[in-house]
Amino acid sequence: MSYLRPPYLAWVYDETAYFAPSSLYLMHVPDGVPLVLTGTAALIWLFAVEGEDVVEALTEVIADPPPDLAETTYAYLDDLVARGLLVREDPS
Amino acid sequence: MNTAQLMPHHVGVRFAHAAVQVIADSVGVDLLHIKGPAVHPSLLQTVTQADRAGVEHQLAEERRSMDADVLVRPTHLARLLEALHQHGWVLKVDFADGSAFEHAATFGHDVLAHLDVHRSFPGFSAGSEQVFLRLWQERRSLDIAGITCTVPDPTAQRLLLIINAVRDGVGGQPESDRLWQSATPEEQEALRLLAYDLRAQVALAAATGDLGAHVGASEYHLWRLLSTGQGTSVDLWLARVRAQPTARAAFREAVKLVVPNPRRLGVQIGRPLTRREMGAAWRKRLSQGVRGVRDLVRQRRKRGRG
Repeated sequence: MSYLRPPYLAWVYDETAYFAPSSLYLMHVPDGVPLVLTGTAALIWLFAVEGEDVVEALTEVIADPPPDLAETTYAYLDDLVARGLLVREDPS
Repeated sequence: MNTAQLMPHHVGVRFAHAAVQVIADSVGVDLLHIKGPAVHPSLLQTVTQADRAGVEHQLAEERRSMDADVLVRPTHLARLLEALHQHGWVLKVDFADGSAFEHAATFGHDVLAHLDVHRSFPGFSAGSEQVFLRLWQERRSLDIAGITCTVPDPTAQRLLLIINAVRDGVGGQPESDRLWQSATPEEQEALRLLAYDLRAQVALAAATGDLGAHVGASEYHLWRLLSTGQGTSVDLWLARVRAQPTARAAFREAVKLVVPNPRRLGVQIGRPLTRREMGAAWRKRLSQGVRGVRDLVRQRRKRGRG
């Protein structure tokens, strides 16, 4: 399964706060409400739009991945699609 | 607190750029994003920063902007303003109430950074439509917050930034010096040619130290005063009047600068003026005008004797 960033979904990944977790800001422009994803949630979105295998990529960066990582990741991806923050790419 | 309140300002600026591009595309408005995140990476100042391992790297320092700035095709201005209104943008400072050049208006939004809509750019004496067309012909695309935005080409961007820095007077000189001196000889020649085509030679000369070559130009005094920060407000008033291309424009400028603009003064102090303050503003302007004209007459008499 692959994903795309929806058209007109603006995004900024902010790493400027040295000691704070990096934050991903999203907003449907021009009339949406800004949202923020942090930590693993942000990584899931970023890996997804970059075309990565999200679970595999998370496994590489998370120090001690939980046993249900795949299940929770797929559920979160479904949630992002439902909220209009990702689009599933039609394989055809 | 919601996300909009917690959102870093630079994110709000980027989203504002993205939003106005989408709005412009939806109604067929041509505009160019300028300054801030729209600046080409080659024009950014580099800083040396050490990573966590202590290794030093040269990094381009991002330009932080208070607002999102766009230059709109003059004939599309009304259409853009209507579209902004439809999407919840509210006029904060009208064209006549901002700078004395009356070149930009500021719009506010519930969740985004302010948007400055430029209908012209100070320093370019060619018609605003001609200026925009020339910049539009060489436009490039730049991704801002994931939205493809139109920006001027690097030469035009450098020229805009240099002239913008000159308006800041002595405080802007390091920036205008950096932008000019970091250009190759070929790039400097391209800047001169573009400035010539758009009648911005005097403003550019104020940055490059060549203002003396334009002593007879109508804008000479204006850009000398702006770039040095010298002179009184009356000197600046007279210089703005002299810089106008026609007698009618000069008269209008003179009247505009003498009559206090209550909205502009209100913007400066952050609240509407009281009647007393408005009266004081009138008295100050009129007395400055009388003193200024008297001083000017004395100076001319001295030069006449000498």
